[in-house]
Amino acid sequence: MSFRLLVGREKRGIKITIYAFLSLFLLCLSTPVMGRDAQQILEDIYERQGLGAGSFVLDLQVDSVDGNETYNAYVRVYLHATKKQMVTFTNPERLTNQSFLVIATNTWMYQKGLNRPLRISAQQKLFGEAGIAEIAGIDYLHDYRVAKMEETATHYQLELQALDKKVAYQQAKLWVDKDRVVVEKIILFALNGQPLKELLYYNYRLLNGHQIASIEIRNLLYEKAQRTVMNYLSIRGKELPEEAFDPLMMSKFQLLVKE
Amino acid sequence: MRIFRSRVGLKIFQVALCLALTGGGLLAAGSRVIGKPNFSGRINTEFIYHQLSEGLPTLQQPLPETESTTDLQLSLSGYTGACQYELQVTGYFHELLFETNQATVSSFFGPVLWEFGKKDWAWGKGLAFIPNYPLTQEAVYWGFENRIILSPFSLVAGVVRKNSQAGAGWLRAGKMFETSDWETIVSYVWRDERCYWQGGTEFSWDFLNGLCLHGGVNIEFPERTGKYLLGGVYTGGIFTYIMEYYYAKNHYLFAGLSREPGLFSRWQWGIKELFSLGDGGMITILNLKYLKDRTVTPEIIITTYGGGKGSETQKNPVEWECVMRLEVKF
Repeated sequence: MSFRLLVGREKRGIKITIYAFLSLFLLCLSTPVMGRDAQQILEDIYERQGLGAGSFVLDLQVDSVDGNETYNAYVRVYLHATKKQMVTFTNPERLTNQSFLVIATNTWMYQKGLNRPLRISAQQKLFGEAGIAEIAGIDYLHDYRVAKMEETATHYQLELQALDKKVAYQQAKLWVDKDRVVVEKIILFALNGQPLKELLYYNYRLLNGHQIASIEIRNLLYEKAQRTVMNYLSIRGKELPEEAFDPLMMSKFQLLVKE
Repeated sequence: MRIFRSRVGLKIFQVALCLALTGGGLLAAGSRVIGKPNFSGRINTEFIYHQLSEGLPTLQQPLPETESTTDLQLSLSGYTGACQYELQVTGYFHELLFETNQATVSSFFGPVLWEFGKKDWAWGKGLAFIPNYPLTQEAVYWGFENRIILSPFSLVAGVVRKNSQAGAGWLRAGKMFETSDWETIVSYVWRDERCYWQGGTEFSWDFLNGLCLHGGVNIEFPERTGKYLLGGVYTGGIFTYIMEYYYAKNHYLFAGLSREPGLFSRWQWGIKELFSLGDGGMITILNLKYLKDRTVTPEIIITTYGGGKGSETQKNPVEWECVMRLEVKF
């Protein structure tokens, strides 16, 4: 049927129908495009970080800055392929006989003089403004879903919602630089939407093939003048036995990982 | 377990220990990897002031008003092959006493870890009290323990003895859940010419809001006497709050408030109270520690003994005491 042969009212009706279909078509296209892009962004970042498969030993320098004073400590994190983590200290001396085991939402502390592991809250403040979750690493790709994404001239803003109520921070907002596709800022929220911590990422570089950044953490609730800076010193792959990541084995961890 | 009461049994035990040592040595020689030993030490000096109860006759005073003590603790640990050795000794200068706190060898094969030697074998969830550990906490015993980890399950078997008069064997089976862990324990104890079985369970649970609970129950057979523990630790933004209730022939309540130093703080302080609910007795402990220097740590601990009239703590000849401690690590 030729469009010219249709009378006015019929033409209008068909135009409306065509526009409606076109709009619906574009809407269907745009929604999965937006979701896929946000997911792709997180996957891309995760891939470049390169800690997804295998076990690793990470050495970090943790600095606490309070006004003009700076204190530092050196932390070694053993990351198993199952995401179980053991956090130990190489400095200061008084903490070298302590270690913290993180298995999902369970956290234990072992101290040599105590001779047995004790369960502690993951909220325990150990690293200045950085809690266990930040030191052990937050998995934004697998523990969160993208609730919303906005775009500015320079950044993607992703709003994430935790998939499990047991996750330490229920909501997170990420600012991702559009050109380099790297995270520049994250704000972590409680379940009620209250902002808890701000993380700033800068000085991106490659470390043994892993893309890492310096991370500055600030508490948004109290002690706002203090901040903690984490710097990765080394990342190396290492076979680690899963049996070593158990509270009963914390006293023998060094024996089991052969370090 | 009566074998440990006879000389033959003792000989068998000693031969078994020697075989374990020899086997461990062969394993170690087989892998031919020797790690650098780790040596450390600390010197602990204390100056103690006792405020003695008024009205106590001088000749009956069991303690001097002031005293000072110094002890030196040396630790040596390292790896040889697939084995780890740990040795810790303490010399008490004021008593001219020398003690071995730990002398153990441990190794593993797959998910199985074994440990043999002399040490404090205490395990459990409680802070002030452990209902299921069958022996005296902080006491050292010769023994052997096997741990098998097949995540999320675990199995531990151990046997320890101090002498023919005191010792225990235990079997512990546990499982880890998403935010909690549970363990069932069965043990056989011989102490002061008594032999008995006891069984129980322990748990710890994180509510993911700063509150962690822990507890346990133990029943002794055949008398069917029980020991119970229920405790909680709440970690706030600045302070940590602890409370434990436990029952072992008497009811006790333990409460604590502390500020933990974390990684960077210089000061650590705490207040602990132990109440005897049966007779109203109370012990209060205040401590303050300075942590800035890596090697030198001063600490002050003040303990007071009080409570209701007629309580056991009121009968204590010491009203309060102050301990000033200096620890130097090297």
